[in-house]
Amino acid sequence: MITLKVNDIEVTVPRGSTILQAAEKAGVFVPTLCHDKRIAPFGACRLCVVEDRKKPGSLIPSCFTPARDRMEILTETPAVLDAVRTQLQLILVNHPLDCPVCDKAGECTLQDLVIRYNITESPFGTERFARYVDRRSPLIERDMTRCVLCGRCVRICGELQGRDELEFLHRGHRTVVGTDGGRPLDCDFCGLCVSTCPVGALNDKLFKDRTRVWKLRQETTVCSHCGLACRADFHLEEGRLRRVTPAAASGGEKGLLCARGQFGWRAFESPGRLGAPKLRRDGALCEAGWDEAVGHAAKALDDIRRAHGAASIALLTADHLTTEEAAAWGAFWRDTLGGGPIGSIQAGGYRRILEILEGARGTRVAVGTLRDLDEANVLIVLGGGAAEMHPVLKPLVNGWMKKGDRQLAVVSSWPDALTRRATLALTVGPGLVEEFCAELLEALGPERINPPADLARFGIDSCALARLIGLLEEKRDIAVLVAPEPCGDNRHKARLAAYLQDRVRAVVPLGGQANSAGAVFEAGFTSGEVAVDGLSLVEAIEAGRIRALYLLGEDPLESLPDPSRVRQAMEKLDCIVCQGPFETAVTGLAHVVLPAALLHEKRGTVLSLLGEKRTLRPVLPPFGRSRPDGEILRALAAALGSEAVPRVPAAPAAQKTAIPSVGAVPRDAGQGMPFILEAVPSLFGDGILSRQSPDLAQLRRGLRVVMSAGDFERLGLAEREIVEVRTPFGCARAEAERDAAVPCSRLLLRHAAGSAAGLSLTRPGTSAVPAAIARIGT
Amino acid sequence: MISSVSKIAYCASRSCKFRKPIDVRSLLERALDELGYRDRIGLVETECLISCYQGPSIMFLPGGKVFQVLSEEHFTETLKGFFASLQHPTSPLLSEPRTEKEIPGIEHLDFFAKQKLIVLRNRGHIDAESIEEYIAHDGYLALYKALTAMTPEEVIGEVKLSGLRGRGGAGFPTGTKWEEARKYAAFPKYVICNGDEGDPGAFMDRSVMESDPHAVLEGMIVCGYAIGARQGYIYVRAEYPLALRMLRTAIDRAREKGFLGRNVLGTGFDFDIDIYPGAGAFVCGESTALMYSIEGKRGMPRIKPPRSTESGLWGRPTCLNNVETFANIPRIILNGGAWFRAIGTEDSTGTKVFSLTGAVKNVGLVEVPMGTDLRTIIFEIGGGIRGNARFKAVQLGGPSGGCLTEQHLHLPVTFDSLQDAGAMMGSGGVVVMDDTNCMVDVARFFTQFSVDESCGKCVPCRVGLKVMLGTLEKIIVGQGEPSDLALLERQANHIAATSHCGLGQAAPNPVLSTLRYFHDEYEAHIREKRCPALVCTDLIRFEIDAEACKRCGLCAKVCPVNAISWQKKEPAVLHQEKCIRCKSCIRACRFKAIH
Repeated sequence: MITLKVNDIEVTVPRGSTILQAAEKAGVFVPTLCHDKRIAPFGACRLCVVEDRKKPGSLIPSCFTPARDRMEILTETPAVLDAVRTQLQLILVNHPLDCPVCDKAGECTLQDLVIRYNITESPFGTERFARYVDRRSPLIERDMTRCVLCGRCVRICGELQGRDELEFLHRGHRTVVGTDGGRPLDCDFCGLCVSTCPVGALNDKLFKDRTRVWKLRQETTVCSHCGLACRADFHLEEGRLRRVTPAAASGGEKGLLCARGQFGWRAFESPGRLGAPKLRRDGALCEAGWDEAVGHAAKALDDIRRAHGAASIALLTADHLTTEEAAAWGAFWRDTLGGGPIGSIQAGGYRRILEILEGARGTRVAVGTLRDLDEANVLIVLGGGAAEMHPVLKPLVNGWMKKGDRQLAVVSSWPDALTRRATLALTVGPGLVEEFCAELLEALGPERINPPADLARFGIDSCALARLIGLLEEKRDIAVLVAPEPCGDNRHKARLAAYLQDRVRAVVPLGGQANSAGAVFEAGFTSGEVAVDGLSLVEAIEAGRIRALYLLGEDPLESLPDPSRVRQAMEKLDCIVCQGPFETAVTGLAHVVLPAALLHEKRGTVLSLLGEKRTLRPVLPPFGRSRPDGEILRALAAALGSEAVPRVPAAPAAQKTAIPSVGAVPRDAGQGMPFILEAVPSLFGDGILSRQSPDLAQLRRGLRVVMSAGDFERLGLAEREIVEVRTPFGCARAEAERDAAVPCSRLLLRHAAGSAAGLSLTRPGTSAVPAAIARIGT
Repeated sequence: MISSVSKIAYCASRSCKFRKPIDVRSLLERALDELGYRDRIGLVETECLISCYQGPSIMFLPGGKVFQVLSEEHFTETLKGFFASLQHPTSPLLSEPRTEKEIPGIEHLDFFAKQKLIVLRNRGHIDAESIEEYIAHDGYLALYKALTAMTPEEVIGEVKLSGLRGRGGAGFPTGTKWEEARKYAAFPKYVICNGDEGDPGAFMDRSVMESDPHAVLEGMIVCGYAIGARQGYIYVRAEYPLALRMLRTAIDRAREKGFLGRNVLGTGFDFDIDIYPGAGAFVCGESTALMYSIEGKRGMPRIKPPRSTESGLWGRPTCLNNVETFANIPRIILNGGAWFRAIGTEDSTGTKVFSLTGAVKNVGLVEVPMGTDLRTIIFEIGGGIRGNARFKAVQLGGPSGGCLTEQHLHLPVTFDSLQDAGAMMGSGGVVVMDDTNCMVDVARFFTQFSVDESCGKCVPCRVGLKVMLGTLEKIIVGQGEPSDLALLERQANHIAATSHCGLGQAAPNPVLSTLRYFHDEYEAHIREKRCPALVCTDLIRFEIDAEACKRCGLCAKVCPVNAISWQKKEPAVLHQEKCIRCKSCIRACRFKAIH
């Protein structure tokens, strides 16, 4: 620790802190424009200059100069004030004063500084260098005439998001920030650049020209697009949501958000939002009153449990309940309704992994937290798509890697975002992650069988494997992330993680939905013995073991592979109750539809996948006549009466079905299909909530199939050409995309969720299927 | 068959003295005195002329004819007879062009006599593409000494003792830098040679790389050994194709001979060097921007700390030195740090190469001991001002240096001596200006250079320089206002105080120093709308003196814009509105009728 004085205020800071940090701690204002705490200092704007009393006359940029013991920093000497004023005047030379039409006005750092330092005129006249405005990019408008070239967007894109989409072009006074060749943005659309821009150069198109910032009221809540439950600021104008921004970086928070969080908010007011309860009358869904609808649902459920036993009613949850609601639902389901199976589709992988982790240990497990992740110096990711399922992991991991001497090992079958950053990328063949994990467990496990000799099967060399084992055996802080495959098998991954649990600092299962962690850990909203997910649900319905389905925001029709089989199964059911915020495919088959509120419309707590607890206050009233799930539960419980049915043990027939492995693909089906196709998660969200957003839909551009650049050229495809993808199971039209990192003869299928054709290409439990590509019209 | 003699080598070995106790040297001196060739024929003392059975003997050079000294008697007559048999007894003398004084060799020119060559010692003497010639001139001997007889710490100790400071301009002590780089245990480390010489008018590094590339390589290998690096990079601007070719050849030859690559000289030390051609940005001469450029990123200076010796190229400890610095290393290792320290001044040891350009008679590269004053450099070595015009100013250190006047010519040139006068030694560019140079225009020229070459990162350099250039241009076209001078000074001081890297911090130096020493010229431009040096075209007008005009019409012929009309036997008439002040007519007029 060192002690120094800032404007005669004594302050003690850790060694290595910058003068700016010391000034901040002393409560002294130092003007900055190019500084953002989320990224490394850059020293471009030169506004943060200060003087040391012992070295008068020399101006020190405080944002990157380390503070030294017994320094006496002065921030308001005539020299400093003159330098800051001149600097601002110089910045204004190239900045248009179009504040009346600039959306940043009112929260613009430059505007604030100009007012604070009372800049009323510019003594410097020179012709302004003409710069361009990029209006073609989706969601983000880049008005380079307003740019002050602080480089924050360039750096946050490269340093945190790892995209390097923006870069300085040209030099000297001709410098501009741009993309290569001046093309429109084609990136992750994480919006970090927009969030960091101190002036109005980078604009959120959803917000631009809608209102003025001083009319907005800001409320902090959580983003519900994935399980990381990032803190987000909702900006409201008279009860209308106008924009969402990352919550300001403070404390342990990083101030990060992804495309879904920042640009996906129009899902909350999408046309698919359910505004009133509905009831099926004479084969058609009609609007109904709450009492009527709830009463109907209660009666139907009661009838079925009396006729077939409580085990014949299954509940699927999308984990969009607050912890309190989940606890109430769990209690209700167990005690009042008799404890039928509970499961999830969107969070199925997460729940399954936890089940195995707990099964291995026999007790509740303590999963890793953000702190564990931060302090570990080795990160092992089992399974691909971790950063696609939870996009904020990408900047988190990139920031973590920056701290030096960090190792990131990724076991994946396809080049996902983390594999590209990995120091040790173990890219196994398509669909072989599970088998690889099983082999690895054997090699590491108590029997310590030597690593299998035929590693060629997995497509990785023994050197890489030796390094992975070396990493595991070194005495270092290791965190393990387990990324499930959405509708695949995740047992071996989970078993490997369970085995590693004692050796490593933390194991973090991924793939959960908004409050999966809260629902499982704090609320215990799980079924004791029988969990249903994906295939087992369909099989149970087909076998007649399940006769009714209570859907809490889930939709098997839009999320499970093989939709025609799922539809047949759904049609067999005696009763489907859809309780959720959106109208989806399954609503058409539902008997009762109960509109539910979204997380930001509720009160309660939420636990993120990384162990951060957040308290929610409703920032908006529930949409239309929808109600929070807790209230619906109260009405339902009241309608069912207090008569509790004794808990029914699970029917013996309802054993967990072993999920078939890759062998499910018919052996001769691969004839004439040179590619191997895998469905992979998308950065822009596969969940029902994300799919409702028209803006994310614009980024998703429907079903997409990614192939290697070589294959793309060999097939003679044009950019964004629509091609026909055939597998032994089905056929779909998808937009072709090339990616140099994808190995040849491989296809990655994106955005299958929500697309019947896309889902028909695969089967549950089969992660890799043979496929062929044909150009349409040939 | 030999036609002339320029030197005589004689054997001074002990075995020959035993055979016949003749003092060959004094004998030769006496004989040459008598023959009148004393000034023209040099004597070279050698250890052995091989033919010991004949000894003592002498050898006539060039040609290598050996002559046996049998006795002291009749020696002069014998020599006389020998010389008589030659067509030209001695090689023709060089006559110095200006003084017409006859001198025996180029090294006797005033231009060379005051110089001390360490870095440029091999220039012109060896074939740069031949490693054998370099080796014959003690090449790679220093490397051998360092690798076999010295520990890395001893090498660094020797460099520290020598007091060598970085020749790129900043003058950071080289030994200290090496010590820093050695201190960090990280691996790999890198050695970088900065050959991105961008100052207008400076070509010291180019000359070294082109004429003595192996000296640079040797210095780098020694540095690699000292700091524990195994890889070196030479960053050379792509505008130096010959330097690139010479360095490439030198690296190939050095690899063949085992000075580079695995197991250098069989000592188990590995070191290799690669060349990285720069892409034409001046700012990439700044060390951190240079490293970004090698990494393939945009060449922009980064913030310090950390220093490059801790975290440089690819985040690894990196030792970056200038070409000239590395070229000094072999001599320091061979002759010892104390030898080097004895040359130059206390704080700035050794020699410095300057590239002397501008309005000076002897334009070229000059290597002088540190502390030599400007007058010696410009007037004695440089031979004074061309065309015997009046000396006006000298600009040191490229676009970022200041202009000094007559009153500063007594100042010794060292790293620190010129700072109070508002200039710096910099990397060694010396631009001499006579009274045909307008100092406002000079300031504008150098500012324009800095504006073009600014990377655009920080505000004062990106915008401030452009604004300052605008003010200068306003003054030059005659729209300057009295308040502009204070404004100019304020802008310049602001840029110098708040810019990020050396480029911006030093870019206002030409403006500040001309404002200080040539204030009257600025005043003339602003108040009288007049350019005293007749350079700023908007402030001058020409007129034809009808009386002096001899009606030849030459001016009308050369005028590129037909601004002069002329009819036979009539004085020429100049049309001001068409005149572009190109001065073609002034140069063409033989009667000085136009002014």
